[in-house]
Order: sequence, then C-alpha cells, then structure tokens
Amino acid sequence: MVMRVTSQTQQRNALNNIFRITEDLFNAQKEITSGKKIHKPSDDPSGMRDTLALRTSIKQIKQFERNMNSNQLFLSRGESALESIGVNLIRAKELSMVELGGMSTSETRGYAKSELDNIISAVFQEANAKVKNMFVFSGTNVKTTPFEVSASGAVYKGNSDNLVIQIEEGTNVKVTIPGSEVLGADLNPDLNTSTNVSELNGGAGITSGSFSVTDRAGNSSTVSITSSMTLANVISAISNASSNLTASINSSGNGITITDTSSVITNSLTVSEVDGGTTALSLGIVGSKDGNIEGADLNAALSTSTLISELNGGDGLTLGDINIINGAGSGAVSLSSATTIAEVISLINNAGYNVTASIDSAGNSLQVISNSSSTIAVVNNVGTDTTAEELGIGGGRNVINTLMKLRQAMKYDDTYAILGSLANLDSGLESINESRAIYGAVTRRMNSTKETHQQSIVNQKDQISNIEGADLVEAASEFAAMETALQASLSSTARIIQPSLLDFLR
Amino acid sequence: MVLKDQVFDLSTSINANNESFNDVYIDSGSTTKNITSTIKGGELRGYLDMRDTKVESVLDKMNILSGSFIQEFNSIHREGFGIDGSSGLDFFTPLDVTVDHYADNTGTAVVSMTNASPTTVSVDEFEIVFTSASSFNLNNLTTNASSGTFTFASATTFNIKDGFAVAISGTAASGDKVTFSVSEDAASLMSVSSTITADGQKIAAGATTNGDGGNALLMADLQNGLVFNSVTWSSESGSFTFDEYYNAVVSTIGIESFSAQAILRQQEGVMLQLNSRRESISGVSIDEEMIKMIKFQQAYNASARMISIVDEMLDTLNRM
Repeated sequence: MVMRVTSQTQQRNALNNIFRITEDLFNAQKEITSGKKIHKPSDDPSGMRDTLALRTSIKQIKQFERNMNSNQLFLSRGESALESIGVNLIRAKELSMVELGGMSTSETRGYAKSELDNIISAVFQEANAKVKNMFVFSGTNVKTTPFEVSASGAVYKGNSDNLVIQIEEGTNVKVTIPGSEVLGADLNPDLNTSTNVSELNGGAGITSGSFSVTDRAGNSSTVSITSSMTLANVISAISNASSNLTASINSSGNGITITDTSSVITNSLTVSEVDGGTTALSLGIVGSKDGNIEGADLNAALSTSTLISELNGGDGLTLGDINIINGAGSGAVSLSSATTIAEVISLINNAGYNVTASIDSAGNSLQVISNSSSTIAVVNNVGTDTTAEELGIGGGRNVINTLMKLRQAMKYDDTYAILGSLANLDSGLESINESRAIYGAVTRRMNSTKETHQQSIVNQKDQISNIEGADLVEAASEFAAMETALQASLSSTARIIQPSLLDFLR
Repeated sequence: MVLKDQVFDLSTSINANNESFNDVYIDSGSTTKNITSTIKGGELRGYLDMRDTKVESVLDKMNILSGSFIQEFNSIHREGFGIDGSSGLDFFTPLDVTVDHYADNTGTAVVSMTNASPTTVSVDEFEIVFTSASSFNLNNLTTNASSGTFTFASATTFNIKDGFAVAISGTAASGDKVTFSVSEDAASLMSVSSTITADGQKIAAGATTNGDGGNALLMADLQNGLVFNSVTWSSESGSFTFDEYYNAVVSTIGIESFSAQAILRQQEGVMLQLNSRRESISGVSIDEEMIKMIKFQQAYNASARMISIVDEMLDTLNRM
C-alpha cells in the first residue's frame, strides 16, 4: 500500500527540516565567528574537562614563574653582597701581609686600622643588605637587622632558616642563605626542661602573666606563668590545667606541644590570652586546633647548661680541637671531652692562654677575649677540623669577627694576632666563595626551570586550542553545505506545499 | 487536569521537608492528594526532576567542594603562624552544622548539634533515623551508605562522624528522621573570617613566627592535594584533587546535557514518524478528498443521467 502523504504531514516535515538545518547553520556560524568549538560543557564533555585541567596547570606554572621573577632579587643581591665582602676580605689580607713586613711600624698599622674601619663598615653595609625591605642575610627573620656591633664583636640576630620558594610542583628552592652560614654563627640550641623561660625568644624571654586553656571537652582554666619559671614548671602548669591535657617539648625540640585526650569533644583545643596579655603568644602556643597544639619555635638562647648535643636544632656538634693565639702564647686546645657549654668555656679558660670565653650578647654563639689589654686573642680552626668556626669563635664563616679582631690587632700593634688572623681571612674567603657557588647554582637552576616552564605553557596552550579551537575550514565548508541544504529545502517546500487538486479544478 | 468529561484542579503547597519547595496536589472533590511522586512523565516531571534532582545534586557537589576546601584550608592555616605570632586561627569562617527535623516526625526528640571539630568533621549530608527512644541508624545521604547504629542517653553529649557533638533531648519515636550537614549552603556562605580581614598580619603564611613562607607553601600545595574520592571529601585516602573533582562535576553536567539532547532529538524523530503514520491514516488529504468528491459527483452525474434516461424512456413509452 502506498503511504498517504497529507498536506499536514508535508508541512510538519518541512518545518522540522528547516528548523533542524537552521539550528545546525546557527551552530556552524557560532563556531566560525567565535573561533571556538566548545561553548558549553555539553558541546564536548571530555574535551571540556581536559581544557579545564590544562588551564589550571598553566595558571599554576605562571605562578611558579612569578615566584621566581619576584624573588630572584634575593639571589642577585646576596651574590653581589658576597662579592663585595670578598673583595674587602682580599684587601684586608693584603693589609695584613704588608703590616707583617719589616717596613711596617706601629704608625703604618694605625693607618691600616683606619682602612680596616672602612672595610668593616663596608662589610656591615653589605651584610645588612635589604631587598624589598627585607634583610637578605637574616634567615627568615627578615625584619631584624642581621648583624650588629656589640662590645666584643659582631653578633648575629637572625635565625638559621632559609627563605624558600616553590619553582615547580613539589620542588622548593632556597633563595637566601642565613647569615649564620656565611658571615657569622648561630648555635641554635634546643629546649630542655631545665631551660629557663627568660632564655627563650633569643634571650628576650617571655611575657609574665596568665592565659586560658580550654580542653576539647570544654573544661577551661587559667594558667599563670612568671619569668623565673623553667620550662618544666610551664609544662606542669599547663598539664595541671585539665586532666585531659599533657604538655611537653615537641619532637623537634624547639617548642611546646599540648596534647589532648578528651574522650568526648565539644570544641577545639584553645589557648587564648587573658585581658589582652601576650603570655601565650610569647610561649608560641596561642590559638585553637582540632587536635594537638604544636607551638612555635621558641628560639632558646645559649646558656652554660646547654648540652652540646642540643646545639644545631638538636643535631648536636662534634667537638674537636681549636687553636688559640694570644700574644706570644699559642697552642691547640682539645674540646672533645666537653658535653656542655660550661665545660667548653672552662676548657678554653683553663688552657693557660690568659683568655676568657663567654656566650655573646645575642645568646647564639661563643666569644673568646684576651684578659690582657695589650693582646688580642685569635682562635683558628685546626687543619680541616671546623670546631672553632662552628662555635663562632674564629675562622671560616665568622668573617665579620675575623675582620674586627684584625682591626683590634692593628690598633694594639699585636703582630701575633695579625699573623693568626691571616689563616682566618683565608678560610673566610673560602666560605664566602662556597656560598657564592650556592647562589650561582640556584640561579642557574631557576633559569633552566623558567625555560622549561615557558615551553610547557606553549605546549599546553597548543593543546587547548587543539581541543576547543574551531577548525575554520571544516566549519566554513559545513556552513556552505548547510546553506545549500537550507536553500534546497526552502525552495522544494515552496513548490510542494502549494499545489493541490483544488488549484487545477477552477 | 481533564480526564474524559471531568475536571480536576491542580494546586501546590509547600513541602517543609524539601527546602520549602512546593509539592503538586490534585483536588478530587472532597480531598486533595499529593501526587508529586506519582507524576511519571511530561513537562511537569521534567521541571520537578530538574528542581529536585539535577540542580540539587550539582548544588550538593558544589557545597561539598566549598565545605571541604574551607576545612582543608583552615586545617593548614591553623598550624601556621602570622607575622605577629598569631596561630590557630581560621582563614575562612568555620562551618556551622544545620540540623533539620522532619516535619512528619511523631516523637518529641530535639537533636542539637555543634561542630566540635571544624577542621576534621565530615562534610557529607547525614540522616538520623530513630529506631527507638534510645537508638538510631545513621545514613550518609551523600554516599548513600549506612554509617552505623548508635545508642544514646537522653541529653548526654556524644561524638559522631569525626567531631559532631550531639545531644538529644525529648523522646524520639521509631521512624523519626533528622538530617544534618555542615556543608549545606557552604558555597554561598563561604567567607574569609573577620579576624583575618581586619588584620592581614594574622594570615598564617609562616611555618614559624618569622618571615618565612613555609605554611603558604603548604597552602599552595593544597592545589595538588589528593583530598577527594569520586563522591566526596576524603582527606586521608583520596585520589582526586579539588580541581579534578570540580572538573568531574562540570563534565558530568556536560555529559548529562549531551545525552539529554541526544535523547530529545531521537524522541522527536520517533514522534515525527508516528505523527506521519497517524496523519497517513487519519489525516485529511485534500487531493484524496477532491478525487473522492469528483468521484461521487460523477457517480451522482451518472445516476442523474440514468434517471433522466429512464425518465426519457418512460416518456417514450407513455407516448406510444
């Protein structure tokens, strides 16, 4: 049987086809004019997911580039500072050589001392260099002037951490070297329970007063701390605040940890100040946590009871020999038997060189001073043993103190000390060059990473336009085909719809 | 609605259990009956599905995304130190738990809840179904899984799901339901804590109280943190990042919309075919009708002719 094609069917069919073709035409036109194949997720769901991921990745890489660009200043400033310090050290060495020669007199040494004054102030200027209003050599303590003059020499006020930036997913690089690794020393002792709270925060101590502790079960109580307490007292005071709380020194040995064992919890573990005080803040334990409170690094100062094993953030120090020069007397002193700072000091003091060792005013390294007003005590490393350097009493990275000792030696006409300083100037220069090499390596690494990033961005953008960019040739030919189809369907519709038998039966 | 010769009025009324959206009621003379769930097709079902299922599920995912982000970010932020030494602060305003008692509950139980652990608590939506006056089943509505059975003593606080502190007073009837979630509307409520906006020094970028960016690095690493499984936040054992979770939501919408369009196109084709079929049987073809008309006209002409011939014949006969 033949299918009856009524005019209704014809009309509906014609309309349907025209609408379908115009829709396709519209889409093709949209693709051509916008240059994009994907306008909404349903246009290409999996393509959309890929482009979203690629865009995130590009943004991330651009951030890494920004990190590098805005922090490269630290590297270049640090490098140029060390370069200038190196030049000054070489000049100081020349001066010492000349002043040790037979032609030199106390008068010429006086001139040399004046030149050293300038050298030292130039070195201080570079050592306290700033970038973006942050000190380059103060570790992460970027707002603190790293090197200051004290009565007995230069002291380091920064810390031993590095500023770190991320240059690639999971890859961090250090953009600064703390002054304690190039120009001074920081023994960075750990806490122990007998540490007095007055030795915390680099010797600045804590604020006496009270703070409130609320355990996770909601029990609240107030803890009072005075500046005469030891850490053991502080720990037991916090632990006594609630039966659910236990305070202790944290595993890295630099702060206080408060653990909570409440069985039913109703809130976060909270330590807050009372009456606008700063006691909890100065103990580094203020805040609320859903678990244990891990306190801040309390940066304990050295004390005579500090154990050698607690130095360098708990890594300890292996002590060997040091060489002391004081006037005509000189010789090696073995410190390997010392287990505390007090023992180190007494070994040095009792070695018979008429010197006094003590903790410096910043509380982070030792100093050795002659008991006689006419001689200058100089301490050297012995061979490859770096004990003197590590303790901050002479040689290697203690560049500023080496220069200051040299100046004193010029002033007091102490040729033994000038001679002794030569070895320290050499090892100081070595230390500076070593750090410059580190800066160079980091800069090179950043540059190569930047190149990789740029290439990667280009590749990923390529990929995005592959996925969502319109193929103009294809879209245009499709457009033309659609147009023809529309024309055909319109004209055939115009012809078919009109005639019926009625037209012929007039 | 019209059925044969009868008219039924349709009306709407607010459903307290469905975020105060309206349900559809039919008026059958004396009573009205809720027919929302019995509407199986048509435009109305489409709208209802869109409102109650499709949009709702995307919204839920967005809320879980925001909620998880708030918690993960705060959890890292709390561990860091601001340049002024402050620590343990939330960067985003922590989430409050929303508790909804079903309107049809017959018991008098009132569940009060606090978010006792704002950085660890689950961001999923949960449902408490009481099994007696002192016990309930906990269902996770986000993962559609049971989260265990709990017994409780009236007005005693206890913890569930990583840090909700719950106290139930009154007497629950078996079958009563309560839903709760911290992430409800998290996406729209997300805001930076006022402590932080008031003082930028309190942003805990440092891993120490100094000027280091150690904690900021950890926060940035969150971008690559595997903190989601395929359904929800799973901080410890996830396999997707925030980005991947979001991208999956977007491409799911794309796939659903794409397949809906394909089905629509296909159904339209089928409908067109069927309409043609029907038209072909029941439709009026003007040509056909004209032909028929001419046919009958001719038959009529022929018959008339026949009659006139017979008449002529009779006339002839009469005259004979």
